[in-house]
Amino acid sequence: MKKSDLRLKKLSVYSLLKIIFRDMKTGLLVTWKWIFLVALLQIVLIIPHFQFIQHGAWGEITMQICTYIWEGIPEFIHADQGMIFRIPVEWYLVQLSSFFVSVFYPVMDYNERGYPFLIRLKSRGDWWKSKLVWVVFSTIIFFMFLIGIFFCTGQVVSFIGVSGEGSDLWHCLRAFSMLRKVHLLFILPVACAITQNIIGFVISMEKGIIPALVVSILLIISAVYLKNPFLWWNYCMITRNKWVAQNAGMDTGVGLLYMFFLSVLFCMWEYRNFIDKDTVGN
Amino acid sequence: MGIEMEVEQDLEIYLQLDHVSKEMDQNWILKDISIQCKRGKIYGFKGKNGSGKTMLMRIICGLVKPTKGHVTVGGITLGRKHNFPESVGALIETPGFIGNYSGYQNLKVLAEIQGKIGKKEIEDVMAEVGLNPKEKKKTKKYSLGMKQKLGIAAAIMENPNLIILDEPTNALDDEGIKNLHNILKKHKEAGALILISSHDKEELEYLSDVMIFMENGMIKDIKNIEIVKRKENEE
Repeated sequence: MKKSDLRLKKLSVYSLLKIIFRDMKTGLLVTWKWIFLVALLQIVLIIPHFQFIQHGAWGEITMQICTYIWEGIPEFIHADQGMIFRIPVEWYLVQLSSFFVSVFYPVMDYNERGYPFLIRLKSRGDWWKSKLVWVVFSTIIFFMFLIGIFFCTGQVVSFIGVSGEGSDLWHCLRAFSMLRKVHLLFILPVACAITQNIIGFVISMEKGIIPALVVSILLIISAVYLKNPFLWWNYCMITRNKWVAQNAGMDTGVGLLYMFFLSVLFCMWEYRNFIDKDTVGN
Repeated sequence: MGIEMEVEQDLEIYLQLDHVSKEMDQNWILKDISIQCKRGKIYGFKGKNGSGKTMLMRIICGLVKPTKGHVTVGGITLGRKHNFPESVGALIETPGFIGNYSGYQNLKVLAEIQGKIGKKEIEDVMAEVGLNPKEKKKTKKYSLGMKQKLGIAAAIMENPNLIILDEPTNALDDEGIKNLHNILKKHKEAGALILISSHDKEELEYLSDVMIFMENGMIKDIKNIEIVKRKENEE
């Protein structure tokens, strides 16, 4: 590679890093209130559950709260007649909020103030890559913040005193290695949300944020009703995981691979589309 | 030195449109547009709503791809390899800004992308368009006229070779219009190619060296204002 080409490549990487940094900063500025609001709402929703929390070390209380939220429900569509359908409100709230936090900023940036940035960047590809990084970054930040809030709440609850016996699912999880717990309580929910947000971002860029939201809601609801390996939200319900429901569960490894493949596929497709996309709004 | 060199290249054709057409939703919005524009001149685009002025400006900026034809800016043909012109500033329709930032902060965010200008240049350009750079007011509280001024400042602040202003006088007061005239004159003298559109024929005639009349996505007429004015004076 010629020296001048190398210099140009370095400049282009530097410019991309700058725009990524700008997106992180501006995106957080736009969305932090939502992240905070959702976290507070989650606490309000899980307060009634505190009576079941078993006293334990600081990490254990946080994990119990996470277990409650990502517990999920058994497949409903083929359930026995006597089964009571419980809408997993906290679960829905987390997934949909993560969609808003991640997808709203890139769409707003493109539609409302896109062109001055685009023409300065000189590259549609860089704009798109930067927004993709934002989608992944913001999803991780959202979950980390949420877990941080759960941890703080856990400390307060622990201080006040909890005397519950812990849920059956928690007792099952306690026996697992830390790696499995991290997979079930953090990696899988984040991976599912990243997949959803990437797909939501792609649909938003092509068709608008409302169709993207509708598709996301439909995918989330269908996953609750149907236990299907292609509906990736199934991997975000602990009760449906192979480690818990040994004979009929979803495989974590397969799930992570499938979500990765799906995300890459959508990214590649949209990257090509975006390069040729007409910017007719602002 | 820089300005002198640019003036020397005054007659250089900086922008060339070759048979540019644009189809959207089975409608031909632009039909076979071919023009050449030189640096150091102001080209005024006049036409009714829907005549294709804004679309043409978007195509020149690289925001929209032509269905047929090519756009060459500064010797580089826009396309997959070069998405946007090397040096362009644009104000197209109502500009969008980060509502929670002040005018200065918004311009700073934009300027940081290319890193060509610093604090002083941003403050100067804001003063030039009639905005107070020290003002802390958030842009979401700006009036339409203030937003327009900020949009103009964003378009010109990096002294681009190509300046595209779509209806820049919209919502501007008399003082704002006067400032705009001075700004355009300054950039023209520095060798920039300026494309401007307006509904106001008199305004355009006053500012432009060449007037391009558009109708139904086509160029209906091109008038060299310098020649027209010279003839009028002779008569």
